[in-house]
Amino acid sequence: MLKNYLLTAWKVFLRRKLFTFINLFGICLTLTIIVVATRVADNHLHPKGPEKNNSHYLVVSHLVMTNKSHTRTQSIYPGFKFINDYVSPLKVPEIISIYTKLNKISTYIQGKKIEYTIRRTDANYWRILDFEYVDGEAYSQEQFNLGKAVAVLNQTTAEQYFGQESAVGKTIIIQKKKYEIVGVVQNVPRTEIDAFSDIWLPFTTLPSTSYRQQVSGVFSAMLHHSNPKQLENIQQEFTSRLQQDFVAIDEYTQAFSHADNPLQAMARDIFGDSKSFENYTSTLIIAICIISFLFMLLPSINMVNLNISRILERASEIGVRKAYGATTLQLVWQFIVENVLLTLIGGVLALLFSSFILASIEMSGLIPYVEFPFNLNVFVISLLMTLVFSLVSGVYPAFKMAKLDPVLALKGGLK
Amino acid sequence: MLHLKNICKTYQTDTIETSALSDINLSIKKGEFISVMGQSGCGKSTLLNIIGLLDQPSSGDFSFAGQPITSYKDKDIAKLRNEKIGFIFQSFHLIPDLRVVDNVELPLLYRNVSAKKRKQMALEALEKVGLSARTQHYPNQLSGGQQQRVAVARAIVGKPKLLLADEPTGNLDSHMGNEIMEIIESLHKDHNTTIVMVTHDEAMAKRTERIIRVFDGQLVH
Repeated sequence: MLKNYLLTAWKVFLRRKLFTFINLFGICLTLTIIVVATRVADNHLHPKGPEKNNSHYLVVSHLVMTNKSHTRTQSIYPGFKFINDYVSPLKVPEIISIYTKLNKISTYIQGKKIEYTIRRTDANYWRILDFEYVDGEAYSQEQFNLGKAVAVLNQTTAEQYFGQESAVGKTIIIQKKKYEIVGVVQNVPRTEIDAFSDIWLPFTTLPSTSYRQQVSGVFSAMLHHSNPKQLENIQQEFTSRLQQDFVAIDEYTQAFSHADNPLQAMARDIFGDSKSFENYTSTLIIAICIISFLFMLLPSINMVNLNISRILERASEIGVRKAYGATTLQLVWQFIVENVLLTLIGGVLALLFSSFILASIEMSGLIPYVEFPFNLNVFVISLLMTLVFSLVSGVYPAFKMAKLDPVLALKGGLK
Repeated sequence: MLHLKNICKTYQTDTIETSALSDINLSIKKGEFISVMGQSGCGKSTLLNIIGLLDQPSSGDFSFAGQPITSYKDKDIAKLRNEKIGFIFQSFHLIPDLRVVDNVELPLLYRNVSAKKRKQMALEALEKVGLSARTQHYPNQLSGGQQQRVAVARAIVGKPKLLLADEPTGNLDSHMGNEIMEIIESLHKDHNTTIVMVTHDEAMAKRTERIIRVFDGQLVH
């Protein structure tokens, strides 16, 4: 039976080339966009680089302070003092790391201007994030405490400075200060925002210690626990500390800051009220579902229309099948199989196109070192999306076609 | 085999009620070969559709093979049509996307018959209509007469008790029409199949055992 359905479907596709093309084009375009979006989102939420264990830590990277009446608000990046006073004393996290945001510097290597990004970190940073070492190792707690001028480079930067020679033990000059290279790590994709950099230095090597007194600055904190279930407790501890212990700074009496995982951070960016401790993840997920559904609905409606227009052409076939004993449900099943087949072909093409697009993004260097490896999760999600798409666009026409009155169908007409 | 008692069929539109059949009383014996004649629009195709369970009467009683038809539920009548009735249409109604053999297999798809057995039965039916050499062709590669022979093979592949033919020779020239008629006659003779044939052709009708004439939705005796 299925073979017969598939055979008929295939012949119908070949006979109606324009119809098949328009349908496939719609399916393919929609699914390509969805697959690309899913793979980019997956890459962000489940990174493959040093942030691969992001289910074990949270990040504090924003601070909002307001006065009592909420008439004056300051939205800033936290300074070292804020983190040292309100994050470092937390009891639940097993490891806390403090690190700066990225800083761009230019340097000349053999007369050629090259731009690098620099991040300054503590020693815990290397314990939480899972870097792959090509050579040497990260700077130690002792080197950090003593403010030793040491550096870790990514592979590309090491090669730009020293070619194929080992970089470890050699020195580079950054902002007029000489640093000894202690380790070289594999390149980190730009999408891993807390791990990415070209060069990492201990922040104890900063020329001045004035940063230690600043509430506003360029610092972030990473709060790690080996048991992901404890992360919620970390969030609660941090929130209650800010609510109870925040000491007013000038007129600012209240502080709002959050220890977020990547999804929570994304949700807060889009929907969040900065002066709140609420969690917006579910809002984000609902919004994504609604947007995806609407996005798939438009081409589905188009397919519904095209499919219904086929009724006239296939009325005789429907009439004959009914006359010879096909039930409405059997015909519904037949038309759904046809639609699923067409959508699956579209889905396969979409997977190929999306891989091509993502490979082009990887190769363009638009996002440094980014990689979108094939991922079974994404494949399964894409496949499910494809099936949902084919059901959304196929069920109604299938019922409409299958319910044709056999007498009218044999006359080639519609009720 | 078939009993129609006080069968009426009316079509209702927003403003008008049209009567297609009124007060039809008809019995057809098992193994009988009858023809239904009448002018275009007189209701003979409606009668055939009601007998073939493709259409539902507005009122009256209909019993098929001793069994009164009380339910016109999709699933119930689909089974009856599949097992008991074969249809031959004036315009063949072959599925253009399927090969001859697959077209003939069609009624068996809706029964529990293995693919191998289906193919075997389809080939046997095609042999009966003299089309063994054309099993892998597509309908549009055949002449009108050959296409109707495929349709006959499809109608008989499931060994139905009742064969309904709606102007089976109407779209064919007299030579091909005669060929089809001979095949239908042999089915009647060899398998004792009950056959109801709608026709405009007096000569064809005379070859059947009984002629029923319909005029303005009523039987004329």
